Amino acid sequence: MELLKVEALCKVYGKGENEVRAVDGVSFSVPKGQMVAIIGASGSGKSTLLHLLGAVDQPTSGKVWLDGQDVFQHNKKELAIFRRRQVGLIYQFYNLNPVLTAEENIVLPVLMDGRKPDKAQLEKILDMLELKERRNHLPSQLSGGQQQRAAIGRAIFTAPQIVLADEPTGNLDSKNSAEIMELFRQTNRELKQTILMVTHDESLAEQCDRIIVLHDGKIISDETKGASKGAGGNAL
Amino acid sequence: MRFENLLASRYVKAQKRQSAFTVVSIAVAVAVMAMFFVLYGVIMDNIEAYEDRTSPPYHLIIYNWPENKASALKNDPFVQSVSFELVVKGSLTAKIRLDKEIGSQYLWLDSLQINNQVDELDYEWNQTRMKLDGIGSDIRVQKFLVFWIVLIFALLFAFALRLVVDTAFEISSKERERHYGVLQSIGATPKQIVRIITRESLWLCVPAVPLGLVLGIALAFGMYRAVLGAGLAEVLSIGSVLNWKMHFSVRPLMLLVAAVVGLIWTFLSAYGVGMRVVRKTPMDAITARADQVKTVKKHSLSGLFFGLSGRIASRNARRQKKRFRITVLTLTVSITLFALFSELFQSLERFVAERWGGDANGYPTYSVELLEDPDDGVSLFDGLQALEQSGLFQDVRVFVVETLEYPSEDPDPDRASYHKRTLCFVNQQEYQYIFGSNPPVCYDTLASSGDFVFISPRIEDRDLDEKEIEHMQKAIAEAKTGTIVLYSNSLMKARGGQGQTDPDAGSPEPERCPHELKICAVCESYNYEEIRDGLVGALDYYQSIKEDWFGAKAEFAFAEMRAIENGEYGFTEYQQALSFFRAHGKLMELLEDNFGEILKTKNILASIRTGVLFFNCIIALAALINLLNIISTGIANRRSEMASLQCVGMTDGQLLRMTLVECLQYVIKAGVVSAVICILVIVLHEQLMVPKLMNTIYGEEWMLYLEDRNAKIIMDLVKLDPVTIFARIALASALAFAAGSVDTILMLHAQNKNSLTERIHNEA
Ligand SMILES: Nc1ncnc2c1ncn2[C@@H]1O[C@H](COP(=O)(O)OP(=O)(O)OP(=O)(O)O)[C@@H](O)[C@H]1O
Ligand SMILES: [Mg+2]
Repeated sequence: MELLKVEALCKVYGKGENEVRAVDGVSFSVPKGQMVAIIGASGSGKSTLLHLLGAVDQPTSGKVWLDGQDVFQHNKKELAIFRRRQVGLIYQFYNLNPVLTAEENIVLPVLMDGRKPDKAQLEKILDMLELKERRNHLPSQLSGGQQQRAAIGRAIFTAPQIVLADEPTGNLDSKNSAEIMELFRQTNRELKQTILMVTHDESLAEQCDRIIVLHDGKIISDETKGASKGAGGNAL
Repeated sequence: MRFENLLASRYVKAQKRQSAFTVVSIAVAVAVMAMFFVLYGVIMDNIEAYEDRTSPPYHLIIYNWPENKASALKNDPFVQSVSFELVVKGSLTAKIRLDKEIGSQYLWLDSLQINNQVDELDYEWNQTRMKLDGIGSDIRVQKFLVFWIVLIFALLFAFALRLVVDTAFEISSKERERHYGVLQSIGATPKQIVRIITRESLWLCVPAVPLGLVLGIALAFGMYRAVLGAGLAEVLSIGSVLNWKMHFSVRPLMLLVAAVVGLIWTFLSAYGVGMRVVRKTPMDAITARADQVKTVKKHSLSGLFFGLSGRIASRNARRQKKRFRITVLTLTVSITLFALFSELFQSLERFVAERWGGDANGYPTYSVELLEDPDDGVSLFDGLQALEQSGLFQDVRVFVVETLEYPSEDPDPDRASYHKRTLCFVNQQEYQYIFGSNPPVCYDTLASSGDFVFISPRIEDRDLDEKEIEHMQKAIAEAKTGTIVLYSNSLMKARGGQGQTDPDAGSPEPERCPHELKICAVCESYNYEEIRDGLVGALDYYQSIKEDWFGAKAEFAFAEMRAIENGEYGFTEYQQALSFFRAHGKLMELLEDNFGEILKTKNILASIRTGVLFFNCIIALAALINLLNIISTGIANRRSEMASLQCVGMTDGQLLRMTLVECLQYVIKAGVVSAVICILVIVLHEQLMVPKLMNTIYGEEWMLYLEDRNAKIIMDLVKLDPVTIFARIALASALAFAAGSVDTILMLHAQNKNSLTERIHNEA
């Protein structure tokens, strides 16, 4: 059963001479529980694509279905609640709230939902992300890698159906990145969580079920590893 | 809810300067509103106190109430208290205080009349007292109306102040748009975002509103003092009530209104900003795409003049387009308003000075009517004596008007006045004033002989019918013979107040008594308007014949005099003169005092000036708050950016220059736009408004009247001088730049205390 379906997605910046087709007619679908790596040269449109999938940006044209729902048909409130509960987004530049501590940033989506954050779950994630000693620090008092880990924590704390991660390991050392990958794989297995991950790291991409390669906003290759689950989308 | 509160309070605490700025803005807005409302309360209280003092203590006075029905009135359920005065036997004057529950006082009075079978009720409502006590049906309507009118005014006024609050939120939210975008992207609903912003605004109101109220009371008190200082209150209180003093009071309701309006405005501003934020897609908010430099100009003017620093500065300005626009807009509005406003006011001042300025420097003159009361034995000569002995006045000129008649040949009573001759009896000073140094006969001769000088009418100047002309010519011819016989009238003599004969048939035939008047000179023409075609005689002579010819009471008696010249004439001297007039209220009544007029004009001018100054201060404050805030937030937010520039070798001097150029850009743009607006206003004014105005006053061919004195005055009044306007714009811009520069230097200085890496790292 496919969780994510993308159809002829386009995002064009600027006009005329300055026109940039950051995402140019991308179509694919991702079944539930798949772990997908998106790779490509810098400026190939990876971040833009991810933002469109998370519905935090408006496409120029095209459609995105998440869990059978056309995300751009939703009104703002429905979209917000949907994102809060179903999507975990990790930005390339963290985007933590500067006035909240690491811990508060992590539990923020739950707070927004008006629920009490699960203490045990929080401890587990802080532990896993090695942020226990830094939990009461503001983002400005954290290192780049720590901020990145806090951002990851915020994305996975609600156990969303889909995690969209923009270079989640970009600022981490190899040991740390391996742990994050392990974390992703674990949640992927246990919760049947779908993960789309932008990365530059070939070895990390290799660990995923499927690798989509972008070039100038177009998919130039889309390979699903036969070894794991059989389900997979087709390239254009 | 917890989450919105958490974020809101964090923002308030984390961004202290930002919050302080917003608090100050809200406080200023609330203060101005509170001042307005408190002053309104002060004025109303004072008016009430004044009315309370001057208005008699009853609500209704009934004349001729039958004495035998006094108890009915006394026992009426809606009569609180009543006092009776016996006027004629059997008839009372009743002064009634009514009960609050009366409802419609008219219905009550009707039923009172019917129940007591009084046919014709002679009564008078004391509306003032009823208003004070809140009694009666239409009083409520009136109160209601006044309340709404004031409320609408206040709302309009408050609306202008919303701009200040709005800008504050606009600027602070601009800084945080990215955060709100992220919050939305991780699942905050638009409602939640708006709630964070409004919640924060309410947090900020906690210190801002009380601060504003206190400030507002202080401002109101300052204005009150200023008005008192300008002497306006004294001028208003002169006249009927002695020693009436204005007092300062604060109505709690007014403060409440100011506070509530302030809260609502703040909430609305925050709400509006919130709505604007959530309208964007999260990504738009995060990347602040609208604020990015979209095109890179290779050559900018600032770059040309200021090198690299200037180039970066001009890109910065374009990056924060919206903020740039807001700041330039508020600056422009302030500068333009300041320039136009003060220019117009100066014209007004010039105009007033030209109209009244001449007299303002001289010694004041007073004119009084000299009163007479035969019953009290008061004659106009007593008043004259009092004036001359007061030691306050000099050059007392007296002018008594009496009339004598020709025996009427004309049956038409409307024309009776044409058969009268005006006699003016003047004292020596007035005589000198009329004829100057070259009188037809000397005053002493006139006084001793009892002769008259005939002022012949200028028939050609008058709109007379044939019969009247004939009559006048006859009178002139008669005067030239040296004697005129005129008649005094027994009715006029006995007038005791009514200076006219009763033309009605049925009144008794007046007894006429002939007087032979000797004419010693006939003056053809001269410029003393009041007594044209009259006879001028000496006051000393009048004194001897008054009783015999005219009876005890003069028809009209005036005196005009100047104040004694003794150093500068000021308010104390004026008060002295006024108390003299009050003390001699039985002898004379003050008709005109030009010092009072001048004082009033001066005080009105002073009040206008205070108002203008105040208004200018408010707009300057609004502009300054915005300018300083944008400069300081601009510097604070680009702390890391600037630190990076310094890391790659920018010196402090270059950095300062860069930020100063930014500030200069704001000011120059605002100045230029203001100048353009002013040019437009001047052109529009000159080409459209002035011709239109002159057209309405002088008609199509107004151009022909330009040499006219009044036209000149009007033209002067509405004149806008471009040179001074531009000078003002330059001055205002320079001041703004100076303030901005000081702020920039202080901000940079404070920032340079931290190390570079600290600043690069510390983004929040
Ligand atoms: N706001 C914008 N206006 C114009 N062009 C933009 C804008 N944002 C991104 N682009 C362009 O769109 C293209 C795709 O950008 P995107 O950020 O998706 O690249 P990326 O693949 O994530 O690169 P990287 O690996 O360096 O993060 C780039 O060429 C970029 O220049
Ligand atoms: Mg990217």
